[in-house]
Amino acid sequence: MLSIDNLHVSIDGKEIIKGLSLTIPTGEVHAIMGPNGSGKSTLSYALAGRPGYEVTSGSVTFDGQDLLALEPEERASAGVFLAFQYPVEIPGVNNVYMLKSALNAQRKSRGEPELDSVDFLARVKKITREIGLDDGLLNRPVNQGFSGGEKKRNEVFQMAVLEPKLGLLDETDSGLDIDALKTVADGVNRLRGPERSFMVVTHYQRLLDYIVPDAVHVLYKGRIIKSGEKSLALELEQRGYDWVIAEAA
Amino acid sequence: MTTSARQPVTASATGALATLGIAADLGANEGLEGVRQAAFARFAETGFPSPRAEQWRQLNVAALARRPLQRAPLDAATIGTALSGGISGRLSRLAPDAPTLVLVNGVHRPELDRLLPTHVSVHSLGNGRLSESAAVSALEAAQQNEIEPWAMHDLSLALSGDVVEVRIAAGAGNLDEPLHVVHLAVGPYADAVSAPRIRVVLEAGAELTLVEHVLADSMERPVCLVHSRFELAEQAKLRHLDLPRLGQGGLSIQRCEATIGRAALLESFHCALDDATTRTDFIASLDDEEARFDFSALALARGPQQLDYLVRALHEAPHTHSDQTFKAIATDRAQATFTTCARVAQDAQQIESEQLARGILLSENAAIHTRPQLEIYADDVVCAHGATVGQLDEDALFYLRARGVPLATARSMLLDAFTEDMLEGLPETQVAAEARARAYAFTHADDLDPAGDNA
Repeated sequence: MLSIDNLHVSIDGKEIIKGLSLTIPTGEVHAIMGPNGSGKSTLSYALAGRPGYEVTSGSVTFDGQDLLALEPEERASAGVFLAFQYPVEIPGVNNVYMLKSALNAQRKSRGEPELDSVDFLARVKKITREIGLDDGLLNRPVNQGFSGGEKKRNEVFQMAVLEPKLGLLDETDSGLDIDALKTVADGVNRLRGPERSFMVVTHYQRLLDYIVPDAVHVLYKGRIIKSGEKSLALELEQRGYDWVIAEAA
Repeated sequence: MTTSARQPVTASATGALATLGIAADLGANEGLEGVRQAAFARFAETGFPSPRAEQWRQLNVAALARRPLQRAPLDAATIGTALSGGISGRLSRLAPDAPTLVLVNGVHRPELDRLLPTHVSVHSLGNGRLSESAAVSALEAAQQNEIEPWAMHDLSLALSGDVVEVRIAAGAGNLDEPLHVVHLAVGPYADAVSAPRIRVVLEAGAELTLVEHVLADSMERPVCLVHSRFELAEQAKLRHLDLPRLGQGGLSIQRCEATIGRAALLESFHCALDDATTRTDFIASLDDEEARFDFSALALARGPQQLDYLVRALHEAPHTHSDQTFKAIATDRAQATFTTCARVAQDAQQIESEQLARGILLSENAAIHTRPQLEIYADDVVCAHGATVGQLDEDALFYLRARGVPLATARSMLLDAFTEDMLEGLPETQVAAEARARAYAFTHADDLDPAGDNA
């Protein structure tokens, strides 16, 4: 599904990702953990194609395509979805209208017919219920005036409507209370399946109690310095990162 | 066409009075000559305002003195010949089924008016309901009653072809039926200058939605000096929409002045509907308690276009309220300028005033200038101002693209969102549709950002 090889990423000339390699097979959930400043968000943004995140060398293959050659919207159409750590408020742009434009733009670029309003709204209604999103938020401007929890829920809601092949969850757990965390995790778990992969970036192992990963990777100074099974996350929770960093040195 | 009409209007005093030759093509209105000659003599002394003058820094009107300007014809025969065959169709499309008052080169042409209701009373030289001596008095009064001097006033008087007064009787009218006033410029030659002038009086409790159109019929590079005066008596309500469209190369310089009485309301919305350059100088005097002035402008500027607004709210009485709201999008090398001022007189306590300007720049060479000013002589007031000018929000653009929305669509979405709240309050008329169409064409233009500055 996703194969990252020796990736180097710079922002404003400063190298943040320094030779990262990672493979996420189809159907698997991989967690990326690491201390502050290790490059977790940079990795998510670079994969989604954020302008200003310059890939200086390395390659990323997604579903057989050179992901780095694609514009952000082309990556989305190819099946990459980034759930933002800080979802952006967009005054004046209606949430559900934006989502319909996005979905139909994606379908169009894949050569699929556009969904009409009736089918689209039926889909939205069903998913709204499943995710536990207040349907009053659907017709509000994107994320504007949403609470922290509502914003994260809205990200998972969008992901469920867009049905990506790869979900990049950038600290989707940050700022959530335990109930919101469970709802968001339920939403993600509902999307898990043999055709869909996830890269879950998180500080805390708590989220991984609810979204159980197939593999855990430790990112430090722009490189993966240790990979393991779910138990690695528990060990990090108990012992911190120092021992992994010492081991890798 | 007379020889005199071909003479340039020039700021140089030498021979200027002679070259204007007002008397030569005025026909029946010769009695106004004294007013015009005197006004032009004063203008010839002072000339066009220099770009060194603070209020004229952005829009260089002094450059007009170097253009081969000619007076737009005022006589009925020349105007009749100059009006193209399609003009009545164009006028009716402008405001289908709506009352319309038409001034051609500033002269009221009642034969082109449509559907004027009985409660709208119009007095003009054009319709014969204003005598020449009354017109002279009106022009002299216009000069005396000016709230503050307008640099173009003398030139505007010198070129004036008519005096048009619209009056809504006490308690009459309503906001749902707009009255359209069309300032139409025509001429058998390019670079013609006209100076329409209208005075609108709303008696106590009267209501009116007034749509001012400034446009030209088959004329290149028209220059219009528009003078609009609004007088609102107690509890009158005027909703004013100002929609200039003189075509690329056209120039509209408009002075609006308003006196607003007790508990009266003036809402004024401005949107240039095409690529003509406009200067709008609006001064409103809030003369009595609970008077309210809400000014808003949506400036969509592209190419070499300049949209320059100077708006002043003069709070002369306590408990008065003014809002000045601007939004601008500028691309190419276009400029939008918002100079706003709230002046609060010493006894005008407990007034509220807000000035807000927001702008989006779509190219490196475009500019948006915001100059909020407060002059406060009272000590118990609430005055606020804020201005933000920047590029399209890159975070929002990336967010939309990361959802699969193509870049061009994402940019249109953000620009639409930016303009929509200015348009949503418009009365649902043809006018609103046209303002929306301009915004739509502008925000969805393929060449909005040819350099890809925001890509």
